[in-house]
Amino acid sequence: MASRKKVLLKVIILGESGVGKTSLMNQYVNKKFSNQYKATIGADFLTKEVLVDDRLVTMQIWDTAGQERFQSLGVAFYRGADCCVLVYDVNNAKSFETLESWRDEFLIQASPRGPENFPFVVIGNKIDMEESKRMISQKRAMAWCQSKGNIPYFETSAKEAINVEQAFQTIAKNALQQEVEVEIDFPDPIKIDSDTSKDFGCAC
Amino acid sequence: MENDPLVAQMEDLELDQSTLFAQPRLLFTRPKVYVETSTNGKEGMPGFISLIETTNYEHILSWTPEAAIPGLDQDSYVDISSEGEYDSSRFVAPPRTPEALRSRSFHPSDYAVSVPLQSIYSLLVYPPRIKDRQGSIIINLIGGESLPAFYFHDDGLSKGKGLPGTPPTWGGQELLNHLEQLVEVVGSAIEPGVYLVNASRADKINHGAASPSLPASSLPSSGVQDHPLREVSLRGEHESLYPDISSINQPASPAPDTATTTATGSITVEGMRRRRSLTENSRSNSPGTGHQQFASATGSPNISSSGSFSGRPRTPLPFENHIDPLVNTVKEMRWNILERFSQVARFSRDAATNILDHPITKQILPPHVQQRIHESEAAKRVMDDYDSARVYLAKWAATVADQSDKERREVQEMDRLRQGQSGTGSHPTHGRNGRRINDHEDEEGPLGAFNVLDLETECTMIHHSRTDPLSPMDWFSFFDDEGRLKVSEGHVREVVFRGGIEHDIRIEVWKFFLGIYPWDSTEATRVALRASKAEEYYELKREWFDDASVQEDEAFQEQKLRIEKDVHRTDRTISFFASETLPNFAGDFTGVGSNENLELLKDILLTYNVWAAKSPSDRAASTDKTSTSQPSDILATGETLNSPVEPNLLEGYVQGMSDLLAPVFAVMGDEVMGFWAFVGLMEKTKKNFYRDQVGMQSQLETLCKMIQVLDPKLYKHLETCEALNLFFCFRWLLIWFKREFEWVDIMRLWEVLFSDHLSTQFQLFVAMAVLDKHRDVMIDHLQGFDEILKYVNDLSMTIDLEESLQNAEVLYRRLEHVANKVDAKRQERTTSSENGAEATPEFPPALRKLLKETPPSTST
Repeated sequence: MASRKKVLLKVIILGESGVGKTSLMNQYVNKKFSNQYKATIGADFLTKEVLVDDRLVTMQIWDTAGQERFQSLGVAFYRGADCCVLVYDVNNAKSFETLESWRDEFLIQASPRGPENFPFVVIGNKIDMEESKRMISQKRAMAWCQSKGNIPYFETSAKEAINVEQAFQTIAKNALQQEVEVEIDFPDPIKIDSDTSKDFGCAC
Repeated sequence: MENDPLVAQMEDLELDQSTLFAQPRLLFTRPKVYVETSTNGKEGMPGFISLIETTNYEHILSWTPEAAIPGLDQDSYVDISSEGEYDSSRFVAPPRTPEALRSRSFHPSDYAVSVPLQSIYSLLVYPPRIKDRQGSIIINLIGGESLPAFYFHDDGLSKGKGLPGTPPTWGGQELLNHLEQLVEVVGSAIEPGVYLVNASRADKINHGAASPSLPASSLPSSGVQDHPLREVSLRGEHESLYPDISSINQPASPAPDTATTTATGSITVEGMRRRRSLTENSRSNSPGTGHQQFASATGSPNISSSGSFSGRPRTPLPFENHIDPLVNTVKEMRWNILERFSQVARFSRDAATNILDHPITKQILPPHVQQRIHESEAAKRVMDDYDSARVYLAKWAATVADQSDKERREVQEMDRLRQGQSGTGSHPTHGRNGRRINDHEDEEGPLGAFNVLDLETECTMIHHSRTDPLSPMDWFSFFDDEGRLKVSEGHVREVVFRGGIEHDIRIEVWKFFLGIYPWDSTEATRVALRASKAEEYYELKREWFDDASVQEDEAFQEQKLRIEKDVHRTDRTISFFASETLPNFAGDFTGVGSNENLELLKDILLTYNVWAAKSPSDRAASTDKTSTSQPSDILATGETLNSPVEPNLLEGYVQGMSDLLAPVFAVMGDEVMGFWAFVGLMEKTKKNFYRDQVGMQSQLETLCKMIQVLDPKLYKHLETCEALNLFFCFRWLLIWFKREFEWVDIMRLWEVLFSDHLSTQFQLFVAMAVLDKHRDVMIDHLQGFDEILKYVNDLSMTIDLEESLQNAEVLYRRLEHVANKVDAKRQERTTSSENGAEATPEFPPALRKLLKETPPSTST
């Protein structure tokens, strides 16, 4: 294990504010839930070591602010992502409807090589709430995922730790695949987009 | 057992502390550590010994029986460690004696032990011997108790830190090595095998000063490593004491690259074994019966007070001989040195160099070997192994640096007092001993000519002016009989800038600073104002509150939902917002109840939307009437002063606003004043929330320029890390450090920022001060944008406010100083030659805007 090259998988969690991005990340990494996570300002990440296909990898999971106003920050955070997780709240129709724009925005800002094959995973969170509150059916969500190139879909509860582990296993697996493909396709990646990071920051 | 994947994973855990970031961290764990129990008898009960850092940065040593971990599931074990926020229920009182242990009925978790490191007095270390492969460690607590002996069964555990071919390390050794990083561990010169933890001076003297081989007077008197007692790192000296035995146990390992070297500078298993075997005849052989003897030996564990300890006859130590031609093969030595090197490097690169600079290391390692260690691939590899832990290491380094910084200041303060200078609380804050002089010499900053200025020497005389907070008595003395300010507005601003405000009068003073009360108002006007402000507020509120069509509007509902989501997770730990006396009508959020104050936060934010949506001219009627405060109060950023009617770029609630509202509302204590205070605060911060984010962008750019001018080396480092966008300061600036300081500190910080005394953008100097505080750590340890972001995010709730404010003021003066120097130089050159001014670059206009036009009177 030690002889292998260490792999760092960068995963970005996106979605409307309040859908549970921070909670999912913390449930997965720390096995903890709090309904009092403050609104994320800027971005933060946690790391976790996982075994994927007998390979030990480090997942760096980025939690971002959900308000679209802060999307201009994205470019600095999205760069080099290996997988993007789109999260919505199954009890909130709007959070589902905006998935498309989150996805598009990600592809624009992260500008991954081969955007059509870039791995996304969709998570419908908060399935612990009573059924009557549910706004988006599983069927509808899966249909959307299918239409976007068969994006894997999970329904989770960060609160009750339902399906979180499974979702992130898939995320890790697909991220690793992406990482491996990048290694094969571009053995010597050249940073051509280093300028884009400056379009917001210091111009001096 | 040998190929147990669990074991492998547990070992990996040791290497990857970073995975448990910002959580209670498992710093070290070792499986197959046995404790003798009533049922398992001599065989003992297997378990994990581990070192855990709680979220409070408390360090705990614990032993958990395997049997207490169902199915030996690694995840759940990590769980125990990572979730183990230190609660008292987990603190299982250690059994006092083996007898007490036996008397218990068997339940594996009964035997779990966990003690804070501060409660450990000493360790008795019995390393493995030939017959007795598993050595043991007994831990004596300060209170006089001892933990049961921990037997480290190393069979089948191949340790090697990922480097193949390295000799296995005894588990007890590993534990010691890790302990040593957390607490001071010194070996007793009197009693081999005894290691004192955080020993008192008296204990140290008792245990070390008497040693004939290490007379205290013969050693340098400063620095931990020069302490009369030998640190763990010096334990290897024992090896050289018994060369005859060392050759017996020597594993035959080839020494390809450093064949001629011998050394004893680091502790090795072999060395310990040898030492053990010498003293062995005094003890029985089997670990089982031996245990009881160990226990009885520590029957009076309060060693220093028992008196019997230091009085006991000790094995005489032969005279030290650091160079031992017969000891370990070079390869083993090298590994051990490297191991120590890498371990120490975890918390400080400086400390790592110390290992190589250490007198002992120097003596035992010929220069070319030292050089080789510095350069060797293996060393690099060891360092690389810890790449992922860099942020963690950086934190360590920061703690260490902070500690020494504080100590240095204390010493300075003492010196000053001794010299009879009065201690008014002002002292040079930038005494990092010429660090920047070198920086400026080393670095040719982008503003090259600025570096010619000898900032450090010229600025050492800069003092901060911080004092006590404004007291009610002083505050009331500022007013005449009519309740009109007798002193100048500028004076009040300066006083608040320097010390803040005592909490009792914040409710009143903030109203001046936040534009509710004009500075020249009388008590009568203020009474009238309160009434009209209330009227105006409720008028605004009615616009949405009483209007069904607004309530049904989709955009309004979306705003409402947004606000509710955030309000329900804003400062719920503060008592003012904590209670759950009302149901959560929002329904959307996860089952946390609401309370009146939260509901008012929502109302204020919704009403602010109404207010912000009105064009300034719409508002003018009311604001003219009620607020005659100077434009600078409202347009605190000073940039919109001459701009035409500003378009409304806020477009409703933005995340972060609830963070800004909560403190001002809590200080005001009621809805109306809470609203107007928030309006005043938003006038200072609303650009942060504009759709185009131009406010944030320009602040980050300005801060970036400030770094470039004041600390070119840090600037260069950030450039290398591709971190010049300073996004890691985004949260700081967006909500004025709301997430970085505790509630009480936030009020203090904000009133200093309200004061606009030195600069209307003083938050940038505070940001610079915090960066400055951590710049060495960032430069030394952090190598990428993500690492810096993580490190900076994790500074939250650890920053010393007073120190930051002091430094911020000094940095302001520094910048002012640079500006004046640059101007003077340009002036000089312009007059002496026509185009000479071009040689000196202009002082950046963005930075000049931060400085006061005329130097204030308090300037030194």
